[in-house]
Order: sequence, then structure tokens, then C-alpha cells
Amino acid sequence: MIGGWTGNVLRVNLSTGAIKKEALREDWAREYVGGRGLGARYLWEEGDPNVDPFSPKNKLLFVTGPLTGTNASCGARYMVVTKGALTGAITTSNSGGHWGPELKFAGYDMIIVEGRATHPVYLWIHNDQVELRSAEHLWGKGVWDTEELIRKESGVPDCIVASIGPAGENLVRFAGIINDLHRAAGRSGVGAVMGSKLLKAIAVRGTGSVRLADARGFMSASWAMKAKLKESAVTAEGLATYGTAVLMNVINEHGAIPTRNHLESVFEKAEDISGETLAETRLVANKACFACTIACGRVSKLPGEAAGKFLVNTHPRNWKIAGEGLEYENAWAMGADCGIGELDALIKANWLCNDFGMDPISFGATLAAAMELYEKEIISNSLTGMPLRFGNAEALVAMAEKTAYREGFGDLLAEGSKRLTARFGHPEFFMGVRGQEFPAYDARAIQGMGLGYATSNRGACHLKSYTVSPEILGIPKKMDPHTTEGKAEITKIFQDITSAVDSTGLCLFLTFGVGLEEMLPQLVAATGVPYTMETLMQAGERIWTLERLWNERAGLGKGSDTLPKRLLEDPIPAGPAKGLVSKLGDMLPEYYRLRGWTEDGEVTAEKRKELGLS
Amino acid sequence: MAKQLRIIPEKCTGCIQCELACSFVQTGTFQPARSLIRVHLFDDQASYAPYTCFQCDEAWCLTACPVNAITISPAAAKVVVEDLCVGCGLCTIACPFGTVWYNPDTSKATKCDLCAGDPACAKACPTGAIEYVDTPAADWLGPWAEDLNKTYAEIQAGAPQGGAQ
Amino acid sequence: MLKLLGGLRRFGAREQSVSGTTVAAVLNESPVPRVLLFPDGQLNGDLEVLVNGRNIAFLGGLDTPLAEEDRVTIFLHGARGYPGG
Repeated sequence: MIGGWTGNVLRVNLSTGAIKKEALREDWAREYVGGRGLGARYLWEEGDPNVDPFSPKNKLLFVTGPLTGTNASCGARYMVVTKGALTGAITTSNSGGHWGPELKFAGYDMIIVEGRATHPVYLWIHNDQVELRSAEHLWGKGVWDTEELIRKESGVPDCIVASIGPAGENLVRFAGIINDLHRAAGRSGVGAVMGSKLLKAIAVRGTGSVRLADARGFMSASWAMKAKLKESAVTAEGLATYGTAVLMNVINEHGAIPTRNHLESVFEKAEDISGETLAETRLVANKACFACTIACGRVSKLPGEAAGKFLVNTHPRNWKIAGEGLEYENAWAMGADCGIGELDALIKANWLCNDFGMDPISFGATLAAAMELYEKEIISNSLTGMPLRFGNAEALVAMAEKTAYREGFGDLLAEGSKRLTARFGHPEFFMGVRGQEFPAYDARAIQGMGLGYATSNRGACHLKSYTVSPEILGIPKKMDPHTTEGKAEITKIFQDITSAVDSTGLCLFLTFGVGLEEMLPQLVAATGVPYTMETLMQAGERIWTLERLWNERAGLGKGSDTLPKRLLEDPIPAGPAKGLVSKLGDMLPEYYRLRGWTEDGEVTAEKRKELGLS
Repeated sequence: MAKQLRIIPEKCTGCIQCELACSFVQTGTFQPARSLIRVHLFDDQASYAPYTCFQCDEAWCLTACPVNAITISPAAAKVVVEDLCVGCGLCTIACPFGTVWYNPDTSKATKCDLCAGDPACAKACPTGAIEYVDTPAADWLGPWAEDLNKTYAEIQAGAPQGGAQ
Repeated sequence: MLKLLGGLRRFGAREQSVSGTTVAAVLNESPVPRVLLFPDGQLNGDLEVLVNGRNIAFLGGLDTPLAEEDRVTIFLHGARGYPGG
């Protein structure tokens, strides 16, 4: 290959111990670009949509994009692609930091992990040296200890580590994979899949290079895009100063913040857990991923007494000066969704989720569902061991550890809220789609998000079509969040664009400041492939549709394109969005039509042919 | 007065675009392992700082070189003259800051040469943590590091010891 | 009442009472500098203005009438330039 991609794939079979370096399928790389798309194509070819996520037959893919490891601003990203432990759907979980670029510098585009080891191992990659090493001494340790130990024992302190914590080892359904201590491929249980394979970590050190087809063209395109990012108030200032938690007050002002398991949509304590309050009281600094100009990462601290109050583990490591977080989604799920307005508890719980390797969104939302069960006296202290009332901050922190270790009631929380609520005869308390819990936007108050949630391939997700952008932030144009007009079209467009961006290795947050048109020249210059807006958008549509086809085979196709009754039938009780329900039914038919699917929502043979899908 | 690279560590976000820009100048690709400016990611202390040759007055590297392969350029940088360098590595040991490197691809010593007066890292830095300004050479990182260490020590001193609660 | 979010809080208290019978009147009375609010005589495209949580774009724009108890919220974001640096 000319540039961008390395052209190499590492195939690791944990059952046999065999490690092979093979050539990247160039045709697939061109058609699916990389990252999310390329992973979907490989998984489509080699995976089984009907396999149990914990089966050795489920494959776990770590996929970078052609722009990962380059100076394309925000070229930090990699995708974990597999059949999700939480959902059973195809899942594509994205992470930043430095791990993805390091894999490219080591000389690989992708790692395919197959089978299951007989005892805990970790994968060591140092350029051409690739081997499986025993992780018996690491099993049971948190992510932070694991990283530290691997760095020490390898003698290569610059290596970058992606690992699971106790949550992944204990097959918590929403366990994630953490790299660079605090960056996460968080959702859908990719960490549990890794844990089921007894793979503790993948440590990489790469001293090679990422080449470019047209270096000069790339650099000038890259500089131009960086300049544009500096012009946008979101990417130049907002995210850097306040992080994504700047959304807390914004979404709350719109009356769109799901509160207490979606029972309400205005949170009276939003200000206390907002990005502004975080910046004023707990923020140490902001932080960037590899090659990123936006630097939205948060580094926050807990002063002595606060950490003491929420202490769960007195390990000296937890007394670092600071840790990363708090992001909006985490602050929402463990905060507003659980009715908790204590910022320090959220910061602490978020650190625990990073160290345990657990998705704070699904954890918080699952706890919220449990809290509703508790408040309605369907479960009680005898089962939970403590009062799981909305607003109980101590319970949040305590349950984080119990869930990661599947102790007591934590064992039930670890199954996710769909299984939890069904177990107690109240499936209607599950707030999610395809088994995955909603993120931080009430679909009744932001209609387009309802459509996005219902049709998202990996389960309810805000990232796959972030129509909050037009509906709340007015980017690229203002749309009324309360109406359904134009939402089907904008959702499809956003889904396709996002699929494309997710496949390049770039960070989605670029799209707050620039469009796909601005990213395109870098992709062309890096790879030497003459992508156009048309072909790139088509690649996006192809990727989206392939994921959909996978889900159809897994029995999670059209029948799952729905929302919980609470959102379809129970009007928001108060606030700016009072009285609204989700009008999914008004948007879905047009969405199917725009996608070129049947009226029922099935991908047609014509559409498959058009996109080159067999 | 010659222009220097002034480092303002508080502004660094750890994005390593300086490393990427420098490695691009060296190799025409992105290869942080060949960058002549490095960002140390002090993750434990949640701090980051780029560091490279301070172009110090003592010129340890220049003094140590047995074949006089290090000279002073028009941009007032100490530079390795590749034709003269024999790859002995003495300069890499002599530099107390560790900012002279041995390049295994060329078998020569290599260090920051201020890009002949137009340093790429300063241009690439998005937050202004690296500036190319007219100023005397100084210890950019010392006071900041001392401060950090003090805070860290304080926190560690206040931390409870013992097993899990 | 006027609420400022995010970076706009550098100009004034997060919540303050400001009188005015239309949105335009309240904006004029607000501590946010005119050059930021109306850079070319038009409302800054990077600003969103809400009345009781509803964007004025879907109400009456700058002429949206206000009652005593109404809440105007302003926040800054957007994909275009930010005058004043």
C-alpha cells in the first residue's frame, strides 16, 4: 500500500498460540477505509452473528484507520469491533489516547484476536517482536496496576497498554477496554469479550513510521484543517475549557436531560455537576489525545477529604494527584440519571470505572433502573444490601466496586439493565435499545435522537448520529428539537458521515468544527486513493448497511427499531419539553425509504448490489 | 541575542504534535521515535512537558565530541555535522538533559538544530507551549517540576495507609 | 431572568435579573458585549438564545415577547468565527 495504511494485519489465535502477520486486504481497505468499516468487513467475512459473545468463536478486532498515527489533527483513534457482550449486536467501540498510533508505528493496521487462551495472557508487540506472555500475575489487577507492571517488567517504559480490569475478567456485560490509563473503548461489553478470551492486555511499542502518499499535500491540508478548528468556538475554546461536560447545563436548559431513569427530564442539580462547576472547583488541566488540537480531555482532582469520604480502596495509587474525567455522558449517567448531584462522588466513581474497566454510561443507567425498582419497592435492602434510592451517592461508589467484582447485588447489576429489569418482571424500566442503555439525551425532547437511538446498529448510542448538533447546538444549521420534520434525512446523513469518519482514524469531535469536505484532502493525500465526497459518503453508507445486515442475521434488525414505552407513551412531566413523547412512528417510515430499504426496514437486494455487498 | 525555544510546560496538553512535526522534518513520515523533541507524559502527575536541547552555553555535547563534529550554526544552535560524526555516542552521554540521540538508521548522533531558524515544533504546537523567541536560554522545566513534586509529596504524605476499608 | 452558560460567564453572574419586554431588549441590557452579541448587526451565529428552554429561532426570534417570569438563556458555541478572539 502506498501510504496511511501499513498493509499489515496481525492475527493472533489464543487457542493455539499461533501469531501470524498477514497482508491487509487492499480492496477492503479502499472500500471500507479502515477502523469501524474495515472491522465490520472482516467480521462479516470471518465472524458469526449468531455466536455467543463469550464463545471462543467470537472474534475481537482492534482496528486503526489510515489517518491514525498521522498529524491529521485528532488522528488518534482506533475501533474495537466484535459481537457485543451486552447487546449481541455488532459493536464498534472507539477509543483515543496513544494506543492506536503506537500500533501503526509498530507496523500494523489491525489485530484480529481469535479463540480463547487456556490461562491469562497478554499480547506483547514491539515492532516485529510479537508474543503472548503470561498474565497470571496481572489477572485480578486493575487497569492502572496492570499498565504500571507491564511497563516495568517489559523494560520498555514507553510502551502503550490497552487492558481490561476486574470488570472484563468477571465478564461484566458492559466492561470496557482501557488504554493510556483513562481512555476507553467503553460500550457494549467489548471488555467482557476480551476477558472471556483470558486476554488481559495488549501492550505496544512502535518505533516505525506512518508513511504518506503525498506528504506535501497532506501537510498543507492538515494545516488548513487545524486553522479551521481554531476558528470554531466549540473546538477552539468550549471543549478545551469545559470539556464535554459543558453540555450538562445546555441540555438541562432545554429540559432534555433524562433524570431518574427517564422519569423526568429536568435535573435540579445539573449546575452542581456541570462542566463549569468542574472547571471551577476540581479541574487541574485539560489534556489531548495523540495529535489533537482540541484537547477536550479533563484531568481533575479530589481534595483529601472528598476522596476520603468516597473511599472504597485505600491503595496509594488512588491518591494520585489527579485522574481523567469527568465527561458529560459519565456525569449524566451516574449523576442526573441516578438523581445524584454530588460532583465528587461522580469523579470518584468515574475513576473507579476507569481502573475497573467498566462503561460508566451503562453502569450508571443500570444503577438508575435498579434505583427505580428499589423506589417502587420491587426490590429491597435484603437484596441490595443498602438503600438504592435515587440520589444516594455513597451507593454509587460502593456499587461500582461490587459490580466490577460481581459481589452481592453487583452480580445482578453486572448483567445490564435489560436483564436486570426483566428478571424482576419490569422490563418497561429498561431505558435502551437493542440491550444497550441510552446516553444523555431524552428522545422525547430531542426527536431526531429518538430515531438515531432506535436505528443505531450497536444499540442506543448518541455517537452514531449526533443530531444534538443541529437540534440543540445549531451545527451545521438550526433544527427544532421538538419536531420530526427533516429528522429522518439528517439522521441518515449523520449516520453515513459518522461511519466514514469512524473509519478514517480521526476523532468525531472534528465534526463540530469542520465537515467531511475538510477531512477529505488529508485522506486522499495520505493514502493516495482518489476518494471524493461521493465515494466517501457511499463508503459510509456501505459500512452502515453492512452493520445492519449483520444485525439482521443476529435477529436484531427491523424488529429492534423501537423505543421503550416510556418514551413513546409517557409525556415528559415538566420543563421546556413538557408534554412531549417520541414520535418515532412519524420518522421511521421515511428513514427506511431514504435508506432504500423495504417498508418494514429490511435491506433490499438492490441496495446491497448498489453498495457492493454480497 | 539568539532566538531560543522557550517551553511553557503548563500549556502542554500532551498532544505530541511537536514530535510529529519534528519527525516529519527528519524523515518525511510520522515517526515520533525519530523526533528530536520529546514530550514526557507524566501520567501519574497528570502533567506533560516537551523537552529538547536547551542550546545551553556549556555545550557539553560539543565539548565531548572527539572529532569536532558538533558546531554552532547560524541560527546559534549546536548541530551535528553528519559527515564528520563517527557515531561514537559520547555526546549522547555527555548531554545532561538527554536530548542528543543516536539514530540507528543513520548510525549518527542527532539533535535539535532549530530547523535552521524556523522550528517546526513551535509552529505545530496548538497551545503555545513552545515559542521561538528572543530570550536568554533558561531552565524552562525546573521550577515547574519542583512545584509538581512538592504537591505530589504533600498529597502522598496526607494519604491514608493500610488495607482496604 | 438571564442565565449565562459556559464561557459567557466571564461577563457576568451565571444568573441575574435583567429587565426587558423582548429578547432583543434583554440582550441589550445584558453584560455580554454588543460586539459579541451582534458582530455585524445580526445575532452572532455562534450564539444560541433560549426562552424558557426553547430556541428563539422557533419562537419569534429577537422580537420574542417576554413576561416577567420568563427565563432567557444564552450559550456560545458554533462552527464559525468568534469575534474578539
